[in-house]
Amino acid sequence: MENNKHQKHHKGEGKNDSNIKLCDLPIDIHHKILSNLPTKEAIGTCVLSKSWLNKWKGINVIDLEESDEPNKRQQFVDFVEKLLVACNTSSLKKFSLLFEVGDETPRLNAWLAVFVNPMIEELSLKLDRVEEPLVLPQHFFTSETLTKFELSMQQVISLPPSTISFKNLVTLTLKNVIFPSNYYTARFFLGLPSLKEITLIDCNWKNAGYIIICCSSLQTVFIREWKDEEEDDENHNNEEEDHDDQNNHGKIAIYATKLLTFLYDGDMINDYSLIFTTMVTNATIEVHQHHNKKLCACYFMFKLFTALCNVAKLSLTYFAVEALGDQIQILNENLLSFNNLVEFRVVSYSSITNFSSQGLHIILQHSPILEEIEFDGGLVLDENGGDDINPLPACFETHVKIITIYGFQGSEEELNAIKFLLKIGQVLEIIYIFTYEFDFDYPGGPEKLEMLYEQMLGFPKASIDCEIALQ
Amino acid sequence: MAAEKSSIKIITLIAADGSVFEVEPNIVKEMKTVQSYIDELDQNTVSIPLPNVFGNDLAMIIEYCKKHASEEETKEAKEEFDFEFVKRMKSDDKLRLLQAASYLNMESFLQFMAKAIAAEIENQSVEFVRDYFQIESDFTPEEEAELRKENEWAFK
Repeated sequence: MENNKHQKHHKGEGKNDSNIKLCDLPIDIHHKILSNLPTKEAIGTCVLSKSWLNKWKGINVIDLEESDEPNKRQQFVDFVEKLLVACNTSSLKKFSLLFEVGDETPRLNAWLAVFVNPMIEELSLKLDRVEEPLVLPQHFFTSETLTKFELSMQQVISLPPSTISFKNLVTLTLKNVIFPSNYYTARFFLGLPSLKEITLIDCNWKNAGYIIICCSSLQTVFIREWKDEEEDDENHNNEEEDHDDQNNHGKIAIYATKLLTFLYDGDMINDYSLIFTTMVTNATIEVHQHHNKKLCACYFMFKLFTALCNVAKLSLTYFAVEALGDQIQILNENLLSFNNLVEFRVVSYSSITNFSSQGLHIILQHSPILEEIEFDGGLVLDENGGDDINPLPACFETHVKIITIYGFQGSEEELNAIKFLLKIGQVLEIIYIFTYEFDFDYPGGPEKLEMLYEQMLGFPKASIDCEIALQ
Repeated sequence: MAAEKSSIKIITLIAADGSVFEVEPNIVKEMKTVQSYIDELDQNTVSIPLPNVFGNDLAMIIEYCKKHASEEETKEAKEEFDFEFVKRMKSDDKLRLLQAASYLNMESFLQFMAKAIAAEIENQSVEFVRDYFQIESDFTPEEEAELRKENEWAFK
């Protein structure tokens, strides 16, 4: 490209509507365009002209997706087999495959041996029904080029006994993956010096035991683990098995001095600890109601909270907040501090957040500079519920400026909550109230809403200029 | 920020139609062709003729570079900008900008334009693509039919 950059396309010079011919441009630009097409369409360009006959073979991206139609399965397999032979796989940089494996594991392993070349940069495998262990080429586990790796399969990930090191891996996503024994799993997580983002969805850590994820570059952790409903029902019927469950999970310690964002959404299946993560500014801990495991939830969150002491933005489920309040007496409340917390969000699903909740009170009490609070899923307060809130969190006197309430339905308890917030918020600037369209979508609904709004405007305000915005 | 390794403060780019653009050095960093020119010179002010790029196109490229070089813009704002940027272009503009990106040796903008052009031909007929890229088929109808048959696996 260097050679032809100065003296080439003079044809169109002087007129603005110059006709650019693609064929005048260097071939690697053609490859760039073709690499941005779906793989099948890139191959289709072979009929354009003789000079295009083999051009597609230089594509560096291959994206293969098996269709849902069962009668097209053989066709897909044949297609990949042909592609394997025809394409110049050594120049591949990105390879992604979505495939229901079934009894084709040996074939899949053979494909991977070719497509996953030593220079691969991005690999994405979304596999269903993997019945036998998947084998990735040996060289893959010491790749120096790999930057992005996504693996989704309900199967044990086979790791080699030799060194594992992904020197330049930045983004790692593992879904449904079953980790092998502690020896192998631990080594996998030690060879990731460049990792910035890790996503772990419904991974199984039972065999792995105690694992340390130590990544000096890690900035974002996202963990999601939902209990399998069916499996859960079985477990619930059998109390003994439930006890057994206690020793049947993984313990994961994350050492990440540069971690900024920690997101957890799950049913507390595994045990997580964060170590040296005081840089975290953004955290979400969505713990869900699960056979009333409040004690467990309280312990789970308390441990994370103490490691997230500098968080500026925090989002919790109401269940998590309540669990904290109900069980706090067994832990040392004084260890909690949210000295840098500016934005706080509570999400409620089954029961609406009650402003007099003790857990909520504890968090607000320890958040001296809190400015914005969001109640996603509504907010209520019993008629004299405000009397229970004692002392009033200091942040309402000095910092809380914006309160947002989603899912307002117009009940008396909701009005009480708004009334109370207006009464205590001395520096409050605005309360945003959002309704769901369908809640007031009946004859007279909009008028009722208007009436409620008038009522809110009449509430006494500690902060004279505070606005109320109803949407 | 403007004075990085050399003392150059403003770079003047002169397009094929004579229109003149004055930009800060960080804007042209992505343009390797321009950058190598600057690196060779040792002057306070630099003016660089770009005989293969038209003013309108250069204006668009500079707009793109400015947006993407900005540290204040969020990733989302940049994506939104990219989306609108592509929407604004006609098919022919895209090829011209691709050529300009190639000439200026701009890696990420080139990738961006390659993607925009790929989107242009995606799901289109062979005839459409030939027309757009100005490719004349040198296959006989028999050869083409044979080729399509041979590559049936790709056409389904």
